[in-house]
Amino acid sequence: MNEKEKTSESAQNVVFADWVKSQVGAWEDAVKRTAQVWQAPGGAAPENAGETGKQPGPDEIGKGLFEFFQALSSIAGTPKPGDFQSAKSVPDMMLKMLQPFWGYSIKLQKQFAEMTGATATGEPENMAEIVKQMTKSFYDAQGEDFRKILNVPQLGLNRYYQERFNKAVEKASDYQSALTEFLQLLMIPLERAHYGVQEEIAKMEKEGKAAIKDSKALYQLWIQKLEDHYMALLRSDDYMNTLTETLNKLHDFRAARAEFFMDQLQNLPIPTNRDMDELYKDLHILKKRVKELERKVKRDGK
Amino acid sequence: MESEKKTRLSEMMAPYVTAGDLIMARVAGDSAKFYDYVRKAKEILMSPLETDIATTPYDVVWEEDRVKLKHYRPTTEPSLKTPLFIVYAQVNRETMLDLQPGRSVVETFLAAGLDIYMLDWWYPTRKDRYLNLDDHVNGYIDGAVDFILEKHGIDQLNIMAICQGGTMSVMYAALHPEKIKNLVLTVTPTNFDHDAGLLNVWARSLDPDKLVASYGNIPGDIMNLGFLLLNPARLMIDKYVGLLENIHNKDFVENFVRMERWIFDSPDLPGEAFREFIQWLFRENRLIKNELVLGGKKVDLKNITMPVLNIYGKYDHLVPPAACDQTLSKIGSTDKEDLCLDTGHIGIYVSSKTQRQFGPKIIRWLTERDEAPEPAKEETKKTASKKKKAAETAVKE
Repeated sequence: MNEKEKTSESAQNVVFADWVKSQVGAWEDAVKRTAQVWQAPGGAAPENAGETGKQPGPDEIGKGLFEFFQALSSIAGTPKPGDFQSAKSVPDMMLKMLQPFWGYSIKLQKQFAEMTGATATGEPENMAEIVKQMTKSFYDAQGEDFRKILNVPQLGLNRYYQERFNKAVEKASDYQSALTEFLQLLMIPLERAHYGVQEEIAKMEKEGKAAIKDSKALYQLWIQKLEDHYMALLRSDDYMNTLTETLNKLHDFRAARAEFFMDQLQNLPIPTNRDMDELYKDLHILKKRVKELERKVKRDGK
Repeated sequence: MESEKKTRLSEMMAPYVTAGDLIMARVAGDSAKFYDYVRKAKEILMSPLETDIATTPYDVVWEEDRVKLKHYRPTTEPSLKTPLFIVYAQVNRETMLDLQPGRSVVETFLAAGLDIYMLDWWYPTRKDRYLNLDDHVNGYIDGAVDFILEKHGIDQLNIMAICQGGTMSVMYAALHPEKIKNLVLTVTPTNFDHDAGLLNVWARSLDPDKLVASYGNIPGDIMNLGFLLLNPARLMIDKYVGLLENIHNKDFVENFVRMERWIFDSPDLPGEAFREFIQWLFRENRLIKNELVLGGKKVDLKNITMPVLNIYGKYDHLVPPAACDQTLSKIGSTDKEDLCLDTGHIGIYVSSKTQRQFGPKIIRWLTERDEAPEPAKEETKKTASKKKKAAETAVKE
């Protein structure tokens, strides 16, 4: 990363931090109001709703709601002792519980903003690259934050069942992420073939040759380029690694899902795959032994 | 600066839109032609189509577990004394050898008077997941061979094997050489240590243990997806553009649908056999190195001493020549022949051009290495002789 890029990134961070700060301030205000509404008997207007004590008009309600949701989307911070002590803290508690989700949303917004900024300067010019980055950000942020929730230690009689369920969800998410990346990789040749054809046409024009007007010839040029780009991709390390990663994640997901389903099936009069596989293995071994004995008897008979 | 920004959504989407445009333009030509295409396509697709495959009559004469042995009903007197046992791969089905009348290896062989048996691996279920290579080679293949030998009261038969079925037949021939008179290998990989085909590169990077643990048997659809990804541009786009272009041609559509029916009729692969195939062959290349052990016995290729004909395709992207062309140098036979045809993996069996070379070559090669059949009665001798001549004429054609 060069100095210019560092400066640009640092500037972006400062702007973003300011924005978060302003959002948090708005949230505090909005939550305060909302809490007062909740605490007021019979849904009366809060004491400080206005000097005159009159009901808020539609504009004010709209503004309040807007501020509330604005604040909701920008909540940040850690729980403090006493946070859960009274009904007054209900909104705080709810919002703090939602914190990881909103944190995740903020990260996505930030990354999207960064990406849009980069795009605006013409850096990643292709759709596939942008989509790939967006998806990666989405799953990275998801992995970082949701994983924490899914890995919260489980307690009590149901802990193992809950853990297996959480694991299945986590692995499904990992697999989805890997699969998306794999599919995006497969889209890249399509884009490159398009630009390849464009370049070819531009080159022909430059050389004063007649442009390809015949759609069949154009199609042949495109499909040939597409095939070439696919051949290059399919032999690349990037493809191999992504394919391997996708298959591994698929395996992990299927294994976790199977464990979860087995928990459910144990409550029903239905044998699980594990039960059946044990039976099949026994059958397989028995059949081999019978065949071997048959051969022996046949040989001895002769 | 503004003019340099190329980030408008329309530009971003251009490759995808253009791809669609190109395909449609390729298909459509002009609007009148396009309209005509649509009308004819409607007529053809809504009319009864002849798309049945594997219509040559046969009887199932032996079964073990799910595996069946087909015996094709002869259409003429036998011209060879030794029956031919065909071992197909477990990937896809053996129906490819009998795709349609006029494009059928089975039909060609029957017309030449060959007595044909064919192994049908059928569709493995979860209970087959523990079947390994030993079970297939020393179990099913050997069981079917023993049945045929006993039925005919003979000691040896001819084997013709295809692709993965060929690899297993090479193992079988090395372990039971006394039961085979002649061996015909077609697109049979024995050397897996090369980078000529993508399949090899991919298979080596697979973790077969994880796949088998995850699936039990390997789903045929997953295998098919892998094959499609070997050349997505041609197999997932261009092929169907070709169909759209020829949608007004009923014969083309029928042939296309037949092929589609065959391609996507993919049985699952028994898990353990798949795991061993990937690990021992693709990753460790044990067969060609004489390091493979099945059923406690070493598979020594030098034990293969019967005549061997090895046919493969020059443009085969699944089993490239590099996978096949070392076989003959590793076996013990003295009567052996390599034949590389100008075709691909499937074309070798179904293209009209190779139909004229492939089947007749095998018939000729087997005939030259076979004794004349002994007719039971004197009066049938003349008939048999006439039929044999007819078969020979067919071979020459």
